[in-house]
Amino acid sequence: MPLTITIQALRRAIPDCRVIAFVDLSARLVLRAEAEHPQPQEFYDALCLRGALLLGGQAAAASTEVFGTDQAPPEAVLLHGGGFELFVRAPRDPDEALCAVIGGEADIAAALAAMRATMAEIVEIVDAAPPATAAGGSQERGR
Amino acid sequence: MAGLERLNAALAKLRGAEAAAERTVPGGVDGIVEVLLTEISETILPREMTIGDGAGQEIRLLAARRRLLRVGRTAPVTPDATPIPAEPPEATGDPAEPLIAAFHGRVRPFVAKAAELSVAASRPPYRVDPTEAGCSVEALRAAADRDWTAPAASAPTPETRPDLAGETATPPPDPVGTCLARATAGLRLREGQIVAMQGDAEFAHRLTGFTGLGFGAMTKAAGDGPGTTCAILRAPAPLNLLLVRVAHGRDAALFLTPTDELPAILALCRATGPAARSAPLDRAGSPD
Repeated sequence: MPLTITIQALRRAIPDCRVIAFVDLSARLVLRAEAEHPQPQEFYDALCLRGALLLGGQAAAASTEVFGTDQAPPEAVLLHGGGFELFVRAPRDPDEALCAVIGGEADIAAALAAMRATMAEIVEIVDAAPPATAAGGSQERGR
Repeated sequence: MAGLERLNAALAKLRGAEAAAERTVPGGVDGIVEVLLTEISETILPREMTIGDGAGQEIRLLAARRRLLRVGRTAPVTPDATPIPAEPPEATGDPAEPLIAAFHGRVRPFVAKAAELSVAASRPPYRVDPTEAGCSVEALRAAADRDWTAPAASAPTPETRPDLAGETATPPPDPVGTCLARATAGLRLREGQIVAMQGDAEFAHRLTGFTGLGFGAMTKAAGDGPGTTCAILRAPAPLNLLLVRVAHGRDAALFLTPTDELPAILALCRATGPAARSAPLDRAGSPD
């Protein structure tokens, strides 16, 4: 299944989900996005920045000392603008993550579970795809 | 360290007295702690003191300028162990408080439980900032004199936890305090300054180290807005922990809690969060 269809399916599977984005945290680049309504690039830039601040930045690095482990946190949840933003890191590539923007009344635990399952599918897609086309395509976003 | 032999001799003497009496000598732990404090008070150049318990565990202290600068975690004795953070924690409150908590909450119990104490000292393998405040020996002694106890031990334990995910219509007036009441360990901050620590002393000390850069990044991600803001990091498996920042008004809580507390925390944040609960996405974007 193509990555775009996988992400579309994830957005439909999560009630009150407005945006799903597959991002590169280190480059702060949205590789794929699926939104209920079109969003400007600034929206995705800000979403990427918040994901990078939590999962790819000083918070993640400093949290390893708090947790007493050398592994960065795999997930983050943010209450922002009356809704929730969820971030799930790729298990094998720590710079890649799935982001979801969902309404304030949504079931966060169920949404995170769906995102984990989709991330596992994405890993399979990326593994199966030729390197040049794994993250590219007509739906690519980014700066 | 010039006094190291004297220190080990004193430790051996104290332990020997205990063994001879085949019981815990009253004041024995206090005596060992006093020897450590004396050693710190005589340390000018940066020195890392490694205290072993004779059972494969050790804890490290960093001392310089007659002050205690850092306290590591209890850790297994390994050649490449790095139990002391190479950078000082960026404490936003009184820098002595977390050190007092760590010394009396971790070092003293470690010494008390040790089967056979040993102490070694060496030059630290990292640069020590000569302006790092640390904590004076006098402050450590004063804390001992007033029978310092870990905040968790002295704090009243609520008989029942508030049901945050229940059907209560009225939002709790203090979401920061309500969250902290459910935490394994936590800090309460007001305008960035630590005003209270509670729960497990080891975890609370780790959280104080997080209040610098890590806390700043979480704050930046969550933004400042009306109502309650919340940012959560989940620990990697198999750890069953969430690192949570909840802010409301001038106050913030930074705490650790089990992962099964996630629904309750989110319910609280929803109840006291921004009024724009069902607002559509900001189509103009919301860069921080």
